[in-house]
Amino acid sequence: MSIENPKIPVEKLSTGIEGFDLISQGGLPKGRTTLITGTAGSAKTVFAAQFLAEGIRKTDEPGVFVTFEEHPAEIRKNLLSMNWNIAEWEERGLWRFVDASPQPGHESIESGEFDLGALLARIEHAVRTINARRISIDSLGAVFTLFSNVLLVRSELRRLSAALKGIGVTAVMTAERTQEFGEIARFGVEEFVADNVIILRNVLEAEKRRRTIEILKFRGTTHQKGEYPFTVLPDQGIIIIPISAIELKQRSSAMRVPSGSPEMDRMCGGGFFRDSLILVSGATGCGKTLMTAEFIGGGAKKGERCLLFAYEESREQLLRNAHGWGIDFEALEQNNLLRMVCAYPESAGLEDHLIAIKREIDSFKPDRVAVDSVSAMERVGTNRGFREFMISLASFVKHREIPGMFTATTATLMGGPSVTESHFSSITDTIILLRYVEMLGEMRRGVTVLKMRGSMHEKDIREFTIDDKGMHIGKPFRNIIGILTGKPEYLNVDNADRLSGMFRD
Amino acid sequence: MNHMGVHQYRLYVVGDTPAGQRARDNFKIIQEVILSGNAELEVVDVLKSPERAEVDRIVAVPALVRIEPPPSFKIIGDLSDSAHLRSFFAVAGRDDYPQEDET
Repeated sequence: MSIENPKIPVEKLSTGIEGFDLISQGGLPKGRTTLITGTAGSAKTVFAAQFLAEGIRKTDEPGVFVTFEEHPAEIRKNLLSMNWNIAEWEERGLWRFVDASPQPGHESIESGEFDLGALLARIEHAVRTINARRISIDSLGAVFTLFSNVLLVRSELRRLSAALKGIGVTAVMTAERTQEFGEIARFGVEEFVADNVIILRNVLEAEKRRRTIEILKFRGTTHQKGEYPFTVLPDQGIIIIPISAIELKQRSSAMRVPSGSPEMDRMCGGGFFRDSLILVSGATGCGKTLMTAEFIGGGAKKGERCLLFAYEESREQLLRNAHGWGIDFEALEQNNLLRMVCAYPESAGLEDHLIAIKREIDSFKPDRVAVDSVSAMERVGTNRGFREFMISLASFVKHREIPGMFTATTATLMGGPSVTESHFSSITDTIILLRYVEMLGEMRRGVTVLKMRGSMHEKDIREFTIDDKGMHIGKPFRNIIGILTGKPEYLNVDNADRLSGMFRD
Repeated sequence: MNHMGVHQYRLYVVGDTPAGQRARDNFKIIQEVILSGNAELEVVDVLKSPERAEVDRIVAVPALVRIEPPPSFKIIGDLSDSAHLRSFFAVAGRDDYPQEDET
């Protein structure tokens, strides 16, 4: 093993895998070997291949791929679906296979002593030929199945690991594990081949698959701790969502933007803050989509472009509804003031949705974002997955310093919290509650601003009506209590007067 | 078997190692005792010709590859387990049989 200068800290090599450099605080330890371990189907091979692919695409660093499992032809074919043209890279001398995959129909027997010197010689030759900076070995478990002598394979792999260090390439080796939580890898490879271990998980939780990546250890250098969700997209490969690595560094602005409803602006003390998150919570049908439409319309009047993610209604339904409130979404679209993205929550996993949202925001560059509703996403993932989704979504929007309106449907018709609120309320700046109020055998609607960070706001619960001009906020409910809890009670006017008189000086 | 022509074998080694030397010596015995002297051996040093090892997908050394007659097979190790080898070659010999009939 080469002796490193202890005064120089461990350098890192940017992998180019989205999100990974953030959670690893810079990438993989340079010139060292990192073990990637995971169960079957945990995207180990994709990680190993992507490590090389990103090196080629982003920094022109050639890479060697050593395969013990799949035949190179298979790998070329599989990775073409990621838009990685390995055959072309091979021609240009940027990618080289060392093929150690089993040959079906070619018998092989053992007789007497041997070592893996040929493998080492081939790898060194491949690295020298294309001047590789990165190397991926997939997978170590397969090496053990090729030979009967486990001890010999162990000592040879240790030799390989040491040799790689000597060559100075940054290496990724994959290894299998049989359980998501248990021994790090089969055959205990982590003990002798690598100073650095990353675990990929693909856990089945409440009938949903959730992929996570965890950096277990980086010897001599730092990294973010814990599991981070990731997804594998057909044209991009692995994308990691760095939840807690997201910094809360967004600036805070005192600039106000109109909510779309002058009465609502008044209730909020002059409109929403420009870089705030607004949560609109209410039962089904009590006006959340309307508030979103007003929010979009209000922005459009000022020439602000809005991006709407609709997870409950189709485009046609949205157009019709907005039309019914006197807002022409189609015209806004034609004037490039609005972009509607309609999708069923079930059409993809939470991570995929999140990445789709981020991509839309990055490409459309809106001045305001609306999501109707975020609570529809509760169905798609686990509780924990949903919480991470909400936090990431909130931070994406905040980082752009634009207002974001999110709606959440409460589980019960009359008041009560939703899961969304409990996950989201602490990161939102403004919470608006829409509630049904049963009054004298009639369903009325009430609206109140529950919270507004950094500003005075009205504490009244006001009645609002909906007609073909949109939303009209009227007078406060005076002689009624218990609206928010869903159990309204009437007070006669005398009582109400007496109550308000009690707190007067 | 003689009318099939000469058997061709290739032995992969990495540099000059004791195991490689033992494999050569043991092959000589196999050649005389099992193959009745009717075999040729080519020794390939992976350090000098890594491309050839690539073609035959050699991972472990020493590795003996049978080129002719088919089917091709690989024996990994210094060929010191002679009893094992004897029975293996007996089976491999039977594999040749149908092809003999065709020619």
